Amino acid sequence: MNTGSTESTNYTNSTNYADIASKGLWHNNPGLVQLLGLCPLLAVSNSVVNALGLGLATMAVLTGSNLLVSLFRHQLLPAIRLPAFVMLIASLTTCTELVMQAWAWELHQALGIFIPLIVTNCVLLGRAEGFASKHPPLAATFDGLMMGGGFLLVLVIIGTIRELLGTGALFANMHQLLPFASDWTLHLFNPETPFLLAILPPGAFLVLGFLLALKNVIDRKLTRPAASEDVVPGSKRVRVTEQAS
Amino acid sequence: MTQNSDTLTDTMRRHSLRLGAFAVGTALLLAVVYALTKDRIADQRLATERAALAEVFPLALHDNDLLDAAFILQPDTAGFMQTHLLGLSTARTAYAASLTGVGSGVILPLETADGYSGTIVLMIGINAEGAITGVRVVQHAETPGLGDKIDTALSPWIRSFNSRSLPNTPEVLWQVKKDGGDFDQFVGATITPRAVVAAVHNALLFFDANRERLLAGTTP
Repeated sequence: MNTGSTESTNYTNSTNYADIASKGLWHNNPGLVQLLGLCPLLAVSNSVVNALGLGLATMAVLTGSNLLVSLFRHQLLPAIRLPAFVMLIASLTTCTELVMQAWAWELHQALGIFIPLIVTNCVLLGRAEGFASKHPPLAATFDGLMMGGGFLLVLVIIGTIRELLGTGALFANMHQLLPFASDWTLHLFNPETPFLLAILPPGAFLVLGFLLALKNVIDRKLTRPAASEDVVPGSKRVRVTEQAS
Repeated sequence: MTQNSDTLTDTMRRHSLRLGAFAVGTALLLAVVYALTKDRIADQRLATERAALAEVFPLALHDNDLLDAAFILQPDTAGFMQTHLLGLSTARTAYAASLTGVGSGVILPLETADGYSGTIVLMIGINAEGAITGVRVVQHAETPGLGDKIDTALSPWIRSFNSRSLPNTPEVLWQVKKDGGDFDQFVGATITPRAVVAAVHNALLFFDANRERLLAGTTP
């Protein structure tokens, strides 16, 4: 019964959906702030389609595991919680892999080992333990969507930058993910010699570094003129409407 | 004392039962998804293999199922002449094509270790006249942006082998242009195309040495 009281305090503290969203997508973004799951993030972000594929798969597993962990949170006693989480995440990842093999075979071939490696993405265990096991299913599912969404967003941004710089094109091979998207490749410019650094692994580190810097600059811009109504109202307004509703 | 140990075993029992139930639940979930996707995955696998074979050997040239006409070539397969020409380091699959029961060509695996990094594994289709119907890279680790243009996704270069044969391309022309031959090299990467050209030429020599056996119309 002790857990009940702590839970209710947590509940009132953060079943603010706007807060969950802003944490997942921005203030506690798994890719840019928590810096979790960097191995797949850096390895497969060499094109938009790879990034989107892994991002969606991670988001699906994260949302599913958050929902199930939250549903069973009263049955999962602290002593057996971790093995249960690991089991759950592993089987959800395997399910995702099977579904991808069945409906997105080529993409699965392209992503290779990084789909099974979703299991090792610390974001999943982190959210299961840190959020889903203390919150009701709806909030946990939403948190999974937002954290997964934040990860997806960072992956796709890095993928876009690397593919554009490296090959001069965008959305190549999109049909691997969306069967109807066969002609989506945009050739924006035709590099005489492709910018190798962008496609090779070091390019991923550099792009991520620049993104981190950019986020920090934006954060500082947002906090400094706190008094001025011009910059802050966006975030204020969101919070107000959420509380009213 | 007894009470203590009772609660301990009690807790242990409760925990293991719950964890066990949870394991059964996740295993069930996996079993259901596996059963639902199994057939579709098998279909996808076969379709991918067939599509890859159709890339190097046109469907119009054979009426047998190539996957049924597969045979294994090893670095020292008995019964074939000069197997070393294929450069194989391990057993790989070849496919015998036939049209109305008559051998109409073959798809051969080949390897070359002369690329810029690692082994390049290729597949080559050759028709009954000894002309190339297609060459594709199966696996490579060439430099992205330079040597990897041997991949059709990045450059049509490898199609320049199509319809080449030993009779229509003399020995001296089986080289990149830089070396006085007939095939383009890439800007900044000569080693990779040089290795592929030599490997393809060797595959034709192997075909020539084993023509009768490869075109017997049955799986060798």
